[in-house]
Amino acid sequence: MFDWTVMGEALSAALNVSNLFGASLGIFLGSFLGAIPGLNGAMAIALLIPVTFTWDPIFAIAMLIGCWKGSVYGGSISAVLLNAPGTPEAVATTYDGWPLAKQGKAGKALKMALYASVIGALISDSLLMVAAPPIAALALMFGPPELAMLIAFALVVVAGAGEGSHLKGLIAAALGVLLATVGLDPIQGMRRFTFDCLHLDSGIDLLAMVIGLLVTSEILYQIGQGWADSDAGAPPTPKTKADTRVSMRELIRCLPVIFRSSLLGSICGALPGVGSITAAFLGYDQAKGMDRHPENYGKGELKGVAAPEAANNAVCGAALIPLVTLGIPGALAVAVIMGGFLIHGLAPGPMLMVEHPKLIYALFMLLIITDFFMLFITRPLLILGQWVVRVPRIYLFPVIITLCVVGSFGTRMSVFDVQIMAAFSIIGYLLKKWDISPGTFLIAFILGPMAENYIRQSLLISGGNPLIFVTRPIAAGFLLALVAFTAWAAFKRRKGEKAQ
Amino acid sequence: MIQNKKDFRLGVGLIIFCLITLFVLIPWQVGPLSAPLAMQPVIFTLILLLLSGLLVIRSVKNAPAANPKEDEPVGTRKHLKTVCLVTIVIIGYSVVFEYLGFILTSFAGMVSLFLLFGVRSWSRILGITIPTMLILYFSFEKLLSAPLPTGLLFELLFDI
Repeated sequence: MFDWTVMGEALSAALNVSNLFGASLGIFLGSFLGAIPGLNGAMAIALLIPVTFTWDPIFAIAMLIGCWKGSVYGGSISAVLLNAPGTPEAVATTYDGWPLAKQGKAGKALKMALYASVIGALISDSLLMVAAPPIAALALMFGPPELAMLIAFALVVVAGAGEGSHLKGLIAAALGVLLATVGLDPIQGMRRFTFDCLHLDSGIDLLAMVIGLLVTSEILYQIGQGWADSDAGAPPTPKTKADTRVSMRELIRCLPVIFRSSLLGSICGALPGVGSITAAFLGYDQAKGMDRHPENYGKGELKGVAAPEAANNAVCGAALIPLVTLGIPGALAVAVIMGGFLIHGLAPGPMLMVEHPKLIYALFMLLIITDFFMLFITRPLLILGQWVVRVPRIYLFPVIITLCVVGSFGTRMSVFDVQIMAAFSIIGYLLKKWDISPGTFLIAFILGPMAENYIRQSLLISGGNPLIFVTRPIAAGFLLALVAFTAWAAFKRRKGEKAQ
Repeated sequence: MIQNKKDFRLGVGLIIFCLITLFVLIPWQVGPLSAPLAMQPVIFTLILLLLSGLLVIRSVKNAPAANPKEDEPVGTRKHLKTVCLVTIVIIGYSVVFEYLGFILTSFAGMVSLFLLFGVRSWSRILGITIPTMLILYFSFEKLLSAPLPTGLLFELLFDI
C-alpha cells in the first residue's frame, strides 16, 4: 500500500525547483557529452560524480540519472549528423539516421529521435515506479543465502551478456571480485592485501577507480587506436524547412513501433547485463521485421530512427529496478550511478525503499517529470549539435584528463586516490586491449564485498555447512538458473563455432 | 601450434598471477589458506586459475574469432608511443600533484598533453588551458569548498 504522506512529501521534493534544475542540468550535460563521439554515458556520469558529492542527494542523483538519459539521446546527434555514434547504443540509429541526413533531413531524424526517446523514457520510468516497490518488498524476504546466490547469478549473467567471449567475461568478474578483497575484511575487520598502506584499509576508492577504468583508460585506448587523429567532416545541410520537422502524421505512423521498442527496451533494462546496445538492435530488428516495407530500412526510414532510440532510452528507467530493489547494478552506467548513491551514504538494495522512501519516490517522480522537460532542454543541442560533434578530440582529451585528476582528488582530498586513478587508467587500457570487459570487472568489484558478506553470513547460520545454498528453495532456484545460463551460453558458443 | 597467441599469453600470465596470489600474496597479506578470512580470495583465485587454464586450452585449439571491432581503425607504433607518453604524463601528474600543487602541475600537464597530441598553436593551448584551470579552481575551491593542493614548494616559498 502507498503511504500517501510519503508520496506527498516525495512529490513536493520532486517539484522543488532546485531538484528539477538538477535533473534538467544532468540531461543537458549528458546530451552534450553524449553527442561527442568517444564519450559515453558512464564516462559522463563518472566525470560528474566528483562535483556532486557535497550536494543534496536528490539533486545529485537526479542529475546523474538525468545525465545518463541525456547521454543516450545525445549519442543520436552525432549518429545522425556524422554517421559516427556518440555512444555505443546509438549505432543502430546510424542505419537510417545517416541516410536521412544525407538527404538533408537531419533535423527531421533528430526530432524523431528526440520524440521516440522521450516516449521510451516515459514508459520505462512508469514501469520503474510501478514495479520497484513490489520487487523490493519481495527482496526483503530474502536471507543471506538467497542474496548470495542472486549475486552469483547476476555476476554470471553480466559476464555472459557483455561484449566478447563468455570466458573472458567470467575472468573479468573473477578479477573484479578478487580486487574487491583489498582492504579490511567485512566480518572480522582484519587487513587483506593492504601491504601496510593505511590508505588501502578502506579498500580501493570506487570513484577513483571508476574514473581511471572508464574515462582515462578509454582516452588511452582511443589514442592507441588512432582515433584522436580521425575527426569528423562537415555534416550535410537541410534542403527545405519541412526536412527539419516531424509532422503529426509521421509521428502517428511511428507510434506503434515506438511503443513496441519501448517495451522491449524496458524488458532489456530490467534484466541484468542486457543493456541498451542490445535493446537498440532488438528495437530496430523488430521494427524492420514487422514492417510491410522492410526494404525501406537502411535507406532513410524514419521508423528506423524511432525504434532504436525508443528502445535504448527505455533501458534507463528499467535498469534502475534491479539497483534500487536488489542493490544489483545490471549495467555499467548503473554501476557508476550506484557509486553516486554510495558517496551520499545510500546503500542501494531492498532496505533503501524502507529507509529512504521519500528520496526514492522523489527520484522516480523527478525522472518522469524531466522526461517531458527533455523535449525542451535538448532543443538548443539540435542547433548546437553541428558544432558539438565536431570538437576535435586533441583539444578535448587534455581537458578531460585534468578533470579526471582533479575529480579523483576532490572526493576525499587524497592524492592517493589520484594515484589509484592513474593505476586504473593503465589497468583499464590493458583490459580493453585483451578484450576483457572493464564494465563486468567494475560490476564484480562492486558486488564482490556484498557476495562475501552474504556467503559468510550464510555459513555462520548453517554452522559452516555449504549445503544451505542448495536446501533453501529460492537460493537453489538461483543456483539452478546460474547453471542453466552457463550451459546455455556454452551451447550457444558451440553452435556458433560449428556454424563458422 | 598455438592458434591464438594473444589469448595464450594472457592465459599464461593469469596463471602465473594466480599462483603468485595463492602461494605468496595470500599467505603473506591475508593468512593461512584455510582461514575464513582467506576464503573469498582463495575461492576466486582458484576460479580465476581454472578460467585461465580454459583460456590457454582454447587458445591452443581455436583460432581467434572474427573481430567484432574490425571496423575500428588500427593504431600504429606512433600511436602506441603516444599512449606510453600520455600514461607517463598521467603518472607524473599524480605523483607531483601534492608537491607542486594544482596550478603548476595542471598547467604543465595540460600543456604537455596538447604538445603530445600535436597541437602547436600556443594561442589555442593557452586559450584552453588557462580557462579550464580557472573554472576547475573556482568550482572546487569556491563552489564545492574542496581545497585543491597548493603544493609543498609553493607553501615553502611563500611561507603559507
